[in-house]
Amino acid sequence: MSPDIHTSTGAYAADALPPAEREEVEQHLADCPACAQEVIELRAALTRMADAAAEPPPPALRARVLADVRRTRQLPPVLGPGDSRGRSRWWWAGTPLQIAAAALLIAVVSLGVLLVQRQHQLDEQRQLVAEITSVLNDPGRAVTTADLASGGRGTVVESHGQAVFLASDLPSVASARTYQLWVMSPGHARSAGLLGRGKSAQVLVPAVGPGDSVGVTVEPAGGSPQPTTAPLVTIPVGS
Amino acid sequence: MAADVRPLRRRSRHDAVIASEPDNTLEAVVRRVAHGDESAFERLYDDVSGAVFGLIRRVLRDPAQAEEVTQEVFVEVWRTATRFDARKGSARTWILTMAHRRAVDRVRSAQATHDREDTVAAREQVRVFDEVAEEVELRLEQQQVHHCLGTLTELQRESVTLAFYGGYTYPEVATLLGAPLGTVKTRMRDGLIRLRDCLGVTR
Ligand SMILES: [Zn+2]
Repeated sequence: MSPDIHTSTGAYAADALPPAEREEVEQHLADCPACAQEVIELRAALTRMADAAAEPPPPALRARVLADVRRTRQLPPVLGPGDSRGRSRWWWAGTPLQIAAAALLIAVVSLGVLLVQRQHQLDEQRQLVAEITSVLNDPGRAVTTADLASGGRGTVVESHGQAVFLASDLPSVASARTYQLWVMSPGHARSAGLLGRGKSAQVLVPAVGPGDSVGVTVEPAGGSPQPTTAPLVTIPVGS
Repeated sequence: MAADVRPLRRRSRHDAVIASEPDNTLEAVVRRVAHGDESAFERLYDDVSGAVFGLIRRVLRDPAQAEEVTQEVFVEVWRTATRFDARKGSARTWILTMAHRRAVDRVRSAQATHDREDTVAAREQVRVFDEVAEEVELRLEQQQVHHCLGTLTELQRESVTLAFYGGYTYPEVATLLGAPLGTVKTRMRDGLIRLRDCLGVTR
């Protein structure tokens, strides 16, 4: 740590630190209330500089932003005894992908908490959560997101030949129908399970390879051995 | 294999504080946005989109890219409104901090590609520096900010404006100004402290 770390607040607040120093300062801010307070104040001053640069955005942008927002799920709040340190670092330091990964992780952990009633289910769920978590936490993971034609959004996270499929904001389907997940390769599709009836879903998809895609179709309740309708979305794995 | 997950919505520990806030502060608007209120979000957009877009355009210069990044920032504001923490500064600062960070991230990821290609980058930077300086002169009509920037020493002012409006790191600023690294870093802080005191802002 450089001896003059307390003097880095200005460059930090203005996003002018190279990445390594930025991290060093972020760690320091967690332990130095004086610097943390100074950063808040300097950012308030920079906000005035930002205001001084204001210019009207193109009018069409408003509708695009609102349309985007309408189909975007909000992150769950951070639960538990407030660790203000960790909290501040989420939105000051987190890249979008880190934030997304954190959201996924929280979703997965709630999955482990919410679902299980019986012990053997618990063990199974723990195993599943561990596998899903290891995919989501792999720094080398590949993330691809696409919208479903009927609404909602699907994300495929791939790591070392395993994938996790995450769906959000799924419109409900008629009670005689179900969403079904497929691993698709040219001329071939194998079922990867049903998505349940909720608006969101997380499914572990083992054994995926290069060239595979993950697809979603609507099938008769109970599922089909092969897709009987056109996919609402196909997301290439690991691209 | 599949399962529903519905994260629990909890009332914030700060509800008591919120209740006493006048409803029209941007902080209160962000809390309504955190509850999924789209009309509150429209209001937030109308309130800060000029500053968000203007700041990003100032850093990136290219209007098409600035539009793209502005859109990303607002979607991010929507997604993360649930995590806004008023103890860390005002809602406006929260949003504009996000906007600035996104803009410089865009500059730096583009730059990383360029730097590998060519050493023309250095000459290019000097040209951009002139434009930034010129534009700052021209466009800081906002009287108070303009006045307060005028109270900074030249090195402080150039360090602050090149970093914030130009999107440069302090080593880049030091190169542009031909000043030692440590000096530029401390001038940035001194300049911002002076600006803060002149503007009378505390958070
Ligand atoms: Zn300190």
